[in-house]
Formats: sequence, structure tokens, C-alpha cells
Amino acid sequence: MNFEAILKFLEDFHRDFYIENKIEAIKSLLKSTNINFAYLIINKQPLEIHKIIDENSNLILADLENNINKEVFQISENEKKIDIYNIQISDEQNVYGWLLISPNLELTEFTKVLKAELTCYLKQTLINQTYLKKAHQLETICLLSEKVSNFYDLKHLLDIVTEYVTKALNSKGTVIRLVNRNSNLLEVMSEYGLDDISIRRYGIKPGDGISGEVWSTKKPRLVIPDTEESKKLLDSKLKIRSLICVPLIFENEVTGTLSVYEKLSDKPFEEEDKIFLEVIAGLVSPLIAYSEALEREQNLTKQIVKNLENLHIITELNKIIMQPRKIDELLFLILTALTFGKDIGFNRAGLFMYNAQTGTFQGMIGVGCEHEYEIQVWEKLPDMTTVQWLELIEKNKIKNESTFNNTIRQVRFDISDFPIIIQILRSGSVYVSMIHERDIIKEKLHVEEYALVPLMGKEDLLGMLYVDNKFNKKPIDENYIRLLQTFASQAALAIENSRLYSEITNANELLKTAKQELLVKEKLATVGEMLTTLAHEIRNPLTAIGGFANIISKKTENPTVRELAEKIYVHASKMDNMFREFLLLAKHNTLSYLSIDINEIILDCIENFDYPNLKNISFVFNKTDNLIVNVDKNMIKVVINNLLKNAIQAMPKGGKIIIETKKENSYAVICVEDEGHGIPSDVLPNIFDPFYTTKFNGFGIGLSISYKIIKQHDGIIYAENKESGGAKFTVKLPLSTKEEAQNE
Amino acid sequence: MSKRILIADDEENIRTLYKIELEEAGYIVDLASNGKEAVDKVKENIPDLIILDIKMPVMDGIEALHTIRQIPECKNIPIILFTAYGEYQQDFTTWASDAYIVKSHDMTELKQTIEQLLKK
Repeated sequence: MNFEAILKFLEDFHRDFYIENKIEAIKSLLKSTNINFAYLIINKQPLEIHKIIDENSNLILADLENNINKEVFQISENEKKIDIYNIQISDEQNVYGWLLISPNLELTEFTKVLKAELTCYLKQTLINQTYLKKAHQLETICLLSEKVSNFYDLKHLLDIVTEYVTKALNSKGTVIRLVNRNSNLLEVMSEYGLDDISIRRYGIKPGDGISGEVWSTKKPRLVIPDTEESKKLLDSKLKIRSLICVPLIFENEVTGTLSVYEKLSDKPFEEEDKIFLEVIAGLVSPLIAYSEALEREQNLTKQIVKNLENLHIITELNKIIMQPRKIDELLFLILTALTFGKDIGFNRAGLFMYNAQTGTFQGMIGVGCEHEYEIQVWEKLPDMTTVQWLELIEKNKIKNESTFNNTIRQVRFDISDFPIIIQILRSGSVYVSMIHERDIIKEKLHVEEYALVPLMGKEDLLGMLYVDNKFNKKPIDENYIRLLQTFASQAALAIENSRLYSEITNANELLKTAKQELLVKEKLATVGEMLTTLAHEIRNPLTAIGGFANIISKKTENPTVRELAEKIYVHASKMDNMFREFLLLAKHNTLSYLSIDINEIILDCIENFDYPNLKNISFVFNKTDNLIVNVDKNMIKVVINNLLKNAIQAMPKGGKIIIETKKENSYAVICVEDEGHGIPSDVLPNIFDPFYTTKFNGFGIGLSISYKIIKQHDGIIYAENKESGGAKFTVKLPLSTKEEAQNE
Repeated sequence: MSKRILIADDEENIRTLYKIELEEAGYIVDLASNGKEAVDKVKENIPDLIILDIKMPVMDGIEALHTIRQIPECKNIPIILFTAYGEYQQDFTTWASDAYIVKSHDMTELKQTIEQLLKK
């Protein structure tokens, strides 16, 4: 071995850093030997092959890959096998490459020097490369720090980070997920370059998947190709081979994860990339935390401002709502407040009232539109506050003409139709519908999202407020919910007040009616007594007059006298009958009740109706069968006869009398209509008053007797004028409970 | 032989009317203008049937009825109460009368009742 050659080699080898010159140096050295095959293989992925000498053939990569760890192996060359000797270039830590030579070279100083020099060189190269990479990464970090130090919003910051990381690691894409403190789920906040990769974009629970695992363990994860885990990733929707996921940690708590997916080059992720990402994570985490805090604070401030605004609206609304008024007006105002303008502005609002006896909810009133085109009109309403608008409605008595009103009024459901209701009522707070669940309200009101809030009175459930954003599809978020909650309690109070108010009004009305009735009764009693005495005084002479007339008509032979006497007799009979009827009524005896079909009584009256000159009168009887009432037949007959008589007297030239019977709730209803001149408007209110005297022919004691009879039967009688002319008398008698029982 | 009927009524016209009608029907008719007179007439000559108006001066029909019933011979004589009032209809039996008739110029009801009572 030539010492001089070695010195020359060392000189050449260290002249510079380029691999080409190093190879040349080795080549020169080997020329002095009999070696005709030499390769330097550098341990990289993929293997870096440098030909030094190969006189006869080229090395085939397949040969190399299979044999790289063998000290001696054979390759075919021109149909003969040659032995290749493999010198591993390595130290205790790493294998840097291999020197392949043939034929064999004695292990001499020569090879020792070669091996040592190559080891040294390759190790240095690797270190250099690492430094280069680190330098590049540091540059990225510097740039990133510069960028993020003047960020102004979290989303923007995260977008910068994902973009830089993706580029720095030459990867397919990057995702940052942050922990949502409300739902305690990891949610995607920013992503870059992942359009064609289906990462999990919905919330991730702790321990769920790789991100979830990183979250719970607080340890970074690196998935490299050709491992079990990588195969799983390939099989999954992700269709990638490798990824790195590092936790974002602030004050020892995971605030999110940073995941990078798949290198664009064939190289997989390495441990170093993971370390780089950890550095980035360390840089970004406090910024994220700070930014989140800032955002929260801003939101809080916004919320406080919004709350103050809402409070103002509610206070103002209260002034309007709390005034005593009719319940339907009030409900209209409340719902208008919920749907109007910028302040609150739901697309549609409605109210379901609850009937505790039947357990049903009934749509009562709705404000809002049913069609897309209407909403434009809605939006073009004058620019004013809700309170101003409500005042305008009040002042001008604007009516509710919402199309939604018709829709919601047709909605009625049972508690059992809508199981969620129990949950809503139990919670007593706002319920926002579930996204994917169907329910009866979504079906009936054709809506995807809605909210309900129960209206609780002092003692019981009054109903539920309903709101939705059917058209602009604004989600019903926390702001809305808080507002609704406040609104509902105010509305419930107002509705209850209003109920109380209407109860008081009703009670007043009842009192008034009762007073009037008392007056009528007193008058009836006095009149009754007077008339009773009078009737007796008259009946005696009347009996005599009729009796004598009868005798005269029988005894006389003069036909004129007979005829006149007969007339006296007939008229006396009529008067007598009238008095009899009256006296019968004036008696204080109890009525003899009997279950009978009202139609039977009416038919009897019509068939036996006795009145002079019925020639031009026709009766039309439209009956509803089976109206059983519990009445004194004779008394009701008196009433029907009175009504028929009235009708005939109203039509001196004849006409049609329409008698109709029908069922209305628990009442049998009898209507008697004529085609006469109607009832003068000044007479109408007093028509049943026995003291009321009028020249108006025919109305007198008969109607007030009828009134008394109907009252005694717990019935109702009233008169009205038809639009087509003529009068209409209506009598309502309670249906016999027996009949009801049969029906059930 | 014709039956004898006593009619007591304070109204002269009524008395006249019934006298004519009942005599026509073949009865012998006595008249009294109040309850007391009726009782006296009954004591004098016991009739086959008595018709009493309720509302009469001096002695009313009810009192007369009770007094007449106390005369032993009159215990079983048919007595008809007779009035313009309608309201007592349900109570007539407690007054121990045999029938109760509301006054009317139509004599049919009265005549039928008399005929029935006299047949017994």
C-alpha cells in the first residue's frame, strides 16, 4: 500500500465539500488497486447511489435493496456471478451509508482510512442538512411570529398559522381545532389546503380519534407510513398515509390541536417535523388563549350592550302591554313586538293557548307572513322602533292581517301528539327545535327551526309562545333565547292581567244584565197582578155576553140577528181564551215538565193554528230531527203561538213564515222569520219589556209572556231584524240531558 | 121527574144565563146571590145538585160548601165549585166538592159534568 497515495487521497478528499469531488478522490485512490466495481450508497430515503467505478455493468437497484445489510452478496454480470463486498459506513448512533466494492479488498489501513473519512464526511453532511432545515424552520417561525404579533382577530391568526405550517412542512394541509368551552367539543376553527380531504369537521369528544387522543393525553402524535395506524388512516375517509397532531397547551390546559396531513413529496413526516410543530404550537397557544379571552370580552361587552337595549325595549313594551285591554288586542301587540324590525325581528310569531280540561294546545293568533314575497313588504316597514310601531298600531287600531294568523289558527294538538312538550314545560325555559328531528309543529307550520317558550301564569300553564325565522333562516341563538325568556314572563303576566280584566268586565256585564232582568221581573210581577185582577173582573161580564149571544143565536128566527149574535159569541170566545191563557200563566204553580221533541210541539202549533184570514200565509218548517227538550208543553205552545201570531200580524198582505229548528251546542234553537216590516230600532231593545207600550201593532203582553216562559225554562229569547227585511225571533231551550246521554 | 139545581152567584147576569141554559136542558133551577142565601135555600128545600161560585159577598163559595156539608141530609149531594179563577184547579178535592169548573159562556162542560154527577 502506497502511503503517498493515501496522503494524496486525503488532500483531494478534503479540498472541498462537494460530493462529486469526494467521489473523484476515491476513484483516483482505487485506480492503484485491482478494483473494477465500486459504489457509494448514502443512507437516505430513497437510497442515494453514487457510481465510483463500474467497468462492465450497472448496479441494479433491486440487488442493492435486498442485500444492503449483507457483508457479501452476489450479483450477475455477463452471465457470471461476481461477489460484492459491503463495507458499512457507520458509528454507534447511525448507519450513514455503504461502500460496495469488488473484488475483495483486504481489510487494510487503506479501507480503514476510507471508512473513517466517509463516516466523518457523511455524518457532517447530515448535520449540515439538519441545520439547514432547522434554519429554514426558524425562518418560518420568525416570519410567523412577526405576522401573528400584529393580528387582530383569532380567525385571521389561525388562518395565517395553518397556511404557514402547511407550506413550511411541504404538506398537503393543516387544521387547527379549538376546544369549545360550552359544548366541550373540539371544533375546526381554521383549515388550509384540505379541500379534497374529508377530515372530521364536526365536534370531537375527548379521546375520540387522533385529535381527541392528543387532547386527552396532551402528547403529540406522529403517524408514519407502513404502520398499523397508517393503514387505518388509509382505509378511513382520510385516505392519507401520515400525519402529525400536536396539542395547543396554555397554562397546562389543552386549548386545541394542530394537525398536519401528508407530505407532498414521497418523504414521510419525521420526528423533527413533530418537534417543529411543537415549537409552533408553543408560539401560537398563548396567542390563541389571549385572542380567545379578548374575543370573549368583546362578546361580553356586545352582550351587555345588547342586553341593555333589550331591557329598554322590554321596559317600553311593558308600558304598552300592561295597560288593561282586551286579550286579543294584547296578544296582537305582543306578537307584533316579537316580529317587528331590527330590535327583535322574528319572521313569524304565534301563540298556542292551553286548555287544561282537554289537554290540548290551540293556535290562537299569529303574526308574520306565510310567503316569501310578503317578507319584502315586511322589511320595508317605516324605520321606527318597536315601541313607536306599537303605539302607531294602537292609535290607528291596525288589525292583524297576517297570513300566518290563519295558518296557526288551524293548528291544534294534544299533549300526547308532542312528547317533547312535557320536557319543555318541565324546564319552563325556551326550547329550540332539534335540527334533524321531525315533530308535529315542523310538519304543521312547514318550518325547519323554531322555538317555543311556555307562558306560566301564577297557578297554571297559560300557553306557549312560538317563534321562527322561516325565511331569513337566522339561527335562534343565545341572544334570542335570553330575550324570549324575558319576554315570555312579561307576556304571561300581561295575559293573566288581561284575563282578570276581562273577567271583571264580564262580571260587570252579568251584573248589568241581572239588574235589568230583575227590573223586568218586577214589572212582570206588578203587571201580572194588575192584569189578573182585571181579567177576573172582565171575565164575568164576558161570560154573560158570550152566553147571552149564544142563547139569542139559538132562539131567534131572524137570520141577521142570528148572524150578529154568532159574531158576538165568536169574539167573546176569543177574548175569553186570551184571558184564560193569561190567567194560566199568571198562576204561580209549578210547570209540568215533560221530555218531548220540540219539533212535535211546533208541528202541533202549526197544524192547529187558529187565526182569521190565513189565506195568504204559508208556513215553511225546516226541522232538525231529535231535539228533545224538557219543557212544559202547553207553555211552549203559548210561546210558539205568540211568535206565529206576531209574524202574521207583521205581514198584513200575507207572506211566508219560515220556522227552523237546529242544534247548537247544548241548546235546541227555534227561529221564526217573517217577511214583514221588521221591528223599529227604537222598539227592538224593549220588545220583551211588559211596561213598554207602543202603537206598533201586535207586540205587547204576548212577547213578555213568552219571555217569562222561556226564562222559566232556562232558555233564551231574542229578536232581530234580518238584512233582507222582516223580523227574526230566536228561542233557545236547553236540550234534555237524557238526550245528551243517549248521544254519548 | 126533573132534578132540582141550586145556583149561587153574585153576578145577576151569570145567574140569568145559567138559569136559561139549565132550564132549557130540563132542570128546575133555584137561584141564590151569595153563600148565605144558598145555605138558607138548601135548608128550606134540599136540591139534587148545588153549583157555588167561589167569590161572593157575605159568605163565599168555600164557606158555603163547608156549611152545607155539615147538614146531614146534604152529605152526599154533588156540589160543583164554579169560578172565573183558574188557579185552584188542583185543590178542589180537599174542599170536598165533587167538581170544579171554570166559568165560561160555553155551557158544554158544565152540562156534561152535571149529567155525570146526577147519574151516580
